Formats: sequence, structure tokens, C-alpha cells
Amino acid sequence: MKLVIGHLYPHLMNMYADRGNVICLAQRSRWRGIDVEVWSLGPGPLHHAAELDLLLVGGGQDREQLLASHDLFETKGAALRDAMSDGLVTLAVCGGYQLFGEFYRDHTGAELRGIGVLPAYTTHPGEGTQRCIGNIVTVWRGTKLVGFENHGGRTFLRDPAAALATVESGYGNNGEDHTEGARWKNVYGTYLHGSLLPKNPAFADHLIAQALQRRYGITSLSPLDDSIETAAHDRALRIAGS
Amino acid sequence: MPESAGDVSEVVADRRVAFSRLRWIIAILAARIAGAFTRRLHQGGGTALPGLVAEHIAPNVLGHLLSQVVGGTVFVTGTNGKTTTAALLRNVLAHSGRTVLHNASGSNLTRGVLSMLLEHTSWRGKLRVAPESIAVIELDEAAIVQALRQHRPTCIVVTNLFRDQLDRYGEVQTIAAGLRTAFGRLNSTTALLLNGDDPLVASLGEVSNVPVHNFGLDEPNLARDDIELAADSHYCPHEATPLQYAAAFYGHLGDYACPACGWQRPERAVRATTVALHGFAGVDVAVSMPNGDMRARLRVPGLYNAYNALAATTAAWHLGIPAEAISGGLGATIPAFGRAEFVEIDGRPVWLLLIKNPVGANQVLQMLAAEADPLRVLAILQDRAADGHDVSWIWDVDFECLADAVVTASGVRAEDMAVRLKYAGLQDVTVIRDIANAFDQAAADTPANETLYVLATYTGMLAMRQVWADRGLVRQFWEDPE
Repeated sequence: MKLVIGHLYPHLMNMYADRGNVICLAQRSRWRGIDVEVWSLGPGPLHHAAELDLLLVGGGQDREQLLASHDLFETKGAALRDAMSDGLVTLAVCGGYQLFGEFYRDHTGAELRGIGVLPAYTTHPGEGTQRCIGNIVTVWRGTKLVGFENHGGRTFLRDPAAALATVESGYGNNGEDHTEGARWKNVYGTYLHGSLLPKNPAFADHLIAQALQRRYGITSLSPLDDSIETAAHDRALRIAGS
Repeated sequence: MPESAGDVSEVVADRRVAFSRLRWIIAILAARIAGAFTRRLHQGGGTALPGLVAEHIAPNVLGHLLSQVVGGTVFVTGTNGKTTTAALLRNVLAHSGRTVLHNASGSNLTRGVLSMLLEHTSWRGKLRVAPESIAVIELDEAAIVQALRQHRPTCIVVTNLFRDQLDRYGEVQTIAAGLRTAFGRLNSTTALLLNGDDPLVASLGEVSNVPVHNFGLDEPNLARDDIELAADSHYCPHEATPLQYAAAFYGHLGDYACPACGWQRPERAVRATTVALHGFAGVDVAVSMPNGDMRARLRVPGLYNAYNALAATTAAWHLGIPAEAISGGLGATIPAFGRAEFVEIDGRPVWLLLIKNPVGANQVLQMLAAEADPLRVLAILQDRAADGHDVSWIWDVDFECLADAVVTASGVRAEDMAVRLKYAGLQDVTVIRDIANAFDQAAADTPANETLYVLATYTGMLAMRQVWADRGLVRQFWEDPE
């Protein structure tokens, strides 16, 4: 059994160490005897999209995000949208999340087009406004997720039901409506760094399980010893004051 | 020659000068009192508070004091290597017989620099130093912009620009933009001494009317095939095109060129032609300068410190220091406070190694990976303001090269470190959050005569040193935790 993990723009969107998510999914699969291949997907055409089981993208600097957005919109967009419609399990963090929404309007009012798979859009409230920075705790299907957010843009959902989680402490999508992240089919967008998945093993396993179900029809995962992950999760909860 | 407080707006009438002077005197007196009180109360070494007080009362007092250093002023900035570069330069200058003013305790905000200067200041605001004195001032990437509003130094050294504590400093491109604006206001009285192997730093040299001298490496033996994943700025500053590297040294440092516009690594006035790394023992370098060649044996280890030595050499050359004094001063420098610091504890060799961002940490890990297995490591991760509240960055550090090490994780975020190490392939990482207990356990588990390596983020490093100082094992040394 094998899973193919696509790491989208590993050099362009590498700002906040979201590669921890790739390491986490790969290791948790390997520890269960599943072979893993990691593909680096830089700028350029996307080949063999149907072979991808998991797709990850992180956050980048403004300049790099601009380069990524051009490639995403003009080169890879159609193939990715098809794969995601077909159930490709995808995690997009921060800048990646913004680009998977409809658009990102920066502090000057200029707009970057997103590929619009997530029913969300992002606006930057303008120069001089505070960034949303700090530890964050959200609730996803009754499970607490811990992470660190650092974003200037405020994201709004077309449909509040599309939120990934609700904010318990921190800002989340926009600091106003208590929503965090977005989902559509098996595509998840979020602002949580940390990296997100290593400290939230339940969410990591949810992604692996969805990928296995889609490819192999397997619905259950063998358990792992998560004592240290749980300790780090609980520690982060306490530091965030939740 | 340095000029006094630079802004045109400060052309003032005599009356206001008198008022300024009065204000400086009040500021200096208040700072003195604050310094005496903090020392008396053991609230810290008092490194930052006097400067903070003085700055509050007289915002331009830093420029006023620096303008009195007639031998020259050097500002050292950049993400990594500021403290070591400044220490190397100080020793080189001392070797050539100059008196040096230096914010040695790593207090690199303007208030820390001020506190140091105030120790040499009379209550009337006169700096009391030898006439040939030179000031070597370490400033962080934001503080230098503030300092340049008040003073134009003889030269500015920029070591490198890497991603660092994003919640504190922001994006590296934003930092570069701030420096670019500040450098654009300089004139020919200030020289820029830049790491030409760092494309982002080299691009800061594209200012008119300012003399620019670059330094860098020409050592094919150290060239990697590709830049590391933790690298940040491998795109051409002029084109949306990835730079091509004929040689990559570490991070995004290397011999680069833009395939689209032809922009490339600049000519370098000071070049290391040989760099021989000898693990923790140090580095042998051969350096070519416009006024001749020079060899030195560095006691600061690692390739990153060879770069720091080049940065210091370039400043020394610019100040007219002869090659022999440069070589002697470099060779006499031991690692700065907590940065590859060696101590012997109960007969056991211990190295204390500061890690604070992915590129720097990877350099330290590469040195460790070259040591004999099994490595014994204490890894301290904290998330206080001076460390950066976001601990995500450890996921961009290649801890995989420690896979065979025996590690104890400690600090406020010990569990995060343990998770990172587990996913890097390490088995059975011990977690002891309390740093003193973790050190005792790790030391007890290290066989006699074997070395213990302590990796620590900034406040973890201070806390580790405090534990040793409380036991009388190292000298007390105050460093501004901000």
C-alpha cells in the first residue's frame, strides 16, 4: 500500500515551517506500514495529478505568494481543481489557504486571484492594522486543535457552515465571527501553524484515513502511541490559556 | 569621519541647543540613578534600563554620544552572527592598540547601546574615552534603522538576512525593505560592508553615493549542490525568477546569478580563498584583501563563523588595520557568550550552542553530526518574546541528522521539541521541562569524559547559564533578554 504526498511550492511557500505537516503525514503513514512518496511540486505544469493522495501547501512571504498565485491560477489551477473535485485530500495553510479561496485583496487594494475551491475570500484591512498573531485553540468536530497563527489578511466565508472549526481562543479567520478555516469536499484550509498536524494527531489521522478510503476503500487506521504528541497538545492548550 | 545627529530637521537655534544640553544632562542623571537601583536590587545586570530611561527623556541622546567617538563608529547588523562579528572586530581593533567601545553583552537595541555609552559618560554629557577610540555597535535589524536616524557611522556591516522569529521581526523581505530605505538616506561618509554571497544583502548595496565593499567565500570544497530547504531568498530581487547557484554554501549564501536579467554575485573586495573546518576546534582561513593576503586560525567553529570572521576582517581593512593585527585578533577570539561556549562541569566537557532560527540551527547541527556517535544532547526549547512565541520553526530544522543521538528535551516547550525529534526518527527522547533538572539528568546519563552538547534557544541559553552561575561554575554575565 502506498500514499503519494504532493508538497506544493516547497520553496516558495516555506515561510512558517509548514513542512512539519508533510513530515507528520509521511511518518504516521510509514509507522503503519504504508509506503510513502513525497513529490515536490514547484512552479510549472502539474503531471499525474490523479496519482496524488494528499496535497499540502503552506504559507509564504508576500513576494513569493505572488509568484505562487500566478503559477496556481495560470498553470496548475484546472488540474488541481479537477483533482480536488474528485476528492483529493488537501491541507492548505495560511497563504496557501488564501490562494485556494476566491481572492486575496492586499493592503493597497490590489487583488490576487485564488483558484476558488474554498468558498472564502480574504481582505487585508490596510497598512497599520494589527496582524493576527498568537497561540490559537479551535474546536473541530468536538476535538480541540492547537496552533499558532500569524496573518494580516482577514478571511470571510460565503457560507458559515463551510468553516473548518470554531475559535476557542485567538483570532481565526477574521477575529470577528469565531470561524476558523474552511472546507470543501476533502479540501481543508486553515491559519494554524505549529506545525499543525504533529500536535494534532487526530486531525492528521483524519486526513490519512480519508486518503486511504479514497484510494483503497479502507475505513479504519491502526492506532499509534501518541503520548508525546498528546503531551505537546495539552501543553499548547495550557500555554494558550484554554 | 562620523557626523553628528544626521537629520536636516535638527538644524536648531542656539536656545534649543542649550535646552537640548539640559535635557541630555537630565537624561544621563536619571539613567545613572536607574542603573544604580537595578544593580542594588539585583533585578538584572541593569544593561537595558539606564538606556531606556535616557532615551525616554532625550530621544536623540544616542546620536549626541556617538558623535563624540572621533576614531570611528561601526554598526554591525544582520540576522545571525552579529554578536560574534562584533566580538571578532573588537579583538582585532584591540590587537592593533585601539580602545574599543562595544556593547559586549549582546544588548543590541538602542537602549542597550546607550546603557553601555552612559557608563563612559560624564554627568555633563561628555563621553570620556581615549581619543583614538572606535565604537563597535551591534544592532538588531530594526534598531539599526532607529540608530541611523541619529548617527551616520563610519561603516555598516551586514552579516546576512535569514528568516528569524516571524512573530517578532516579520518577513525577511520587510526587514530588507526597511534597511534599503535607511541606507538610501546615507551619503559618502558611510561605507556599506556587505555579505556579497547573500543575494538579499548584496541587493542592499544598490544605492547611489554610498561606497560599497562586499565580502564572501571562494572555496569550492565547501560548495553544496543545491541550497537548503530552509533558505529564504533565492529569488532574484529584480525578476520573478529563481537564482541559479554555481555553488551553494549554506542557507541561501553562495555564488548565484539570475538567468533572466543577468544580475549576479558582486565583486568581493575581501574573499576567503581557503576555509578548512576542524569541527568544534575551529577553522583555518586564508583571506585575500585589497592590501594583501592573510591567514588566521579561528577558535570560533563552523562555516558560519568563517563568514563572521570575513565580516570583521572587511571592517578592519576598511578602518586601515594591518593584516597582522587582523590575523592576531581573529585568532584570539573565543566564542561569544553562549554561542558555542565551552565549559567543563564536574570534569565533563559541555558545549552550549545557541539555536534561534532554521538556517543557524542547521549550521550547528552540521557541526554536531561530524562528531563521534552516540551524541549526548540536551535540547532546550522556549517560546518567550526573545525566542519568538511561535515554535513552528523547529520543523524546518534538519534534526534528522541527529537520528542516533541520545536526547533530553527541556524548556517551556520541551514537549514540542520531543515531538519534532520523534518525527526526525529519534527513539525515546526524555522530557524534563525544568532546565536545571534536565541538565543534571543529561549530565548523569553522559559517561565520564564524553561530551554533552546543550542546544538552546535564547532564553533557554540564558537560563542554562544562570543554573551554572548559581553553582559557581561560570561567571555571571548579564545579557538583555529582549
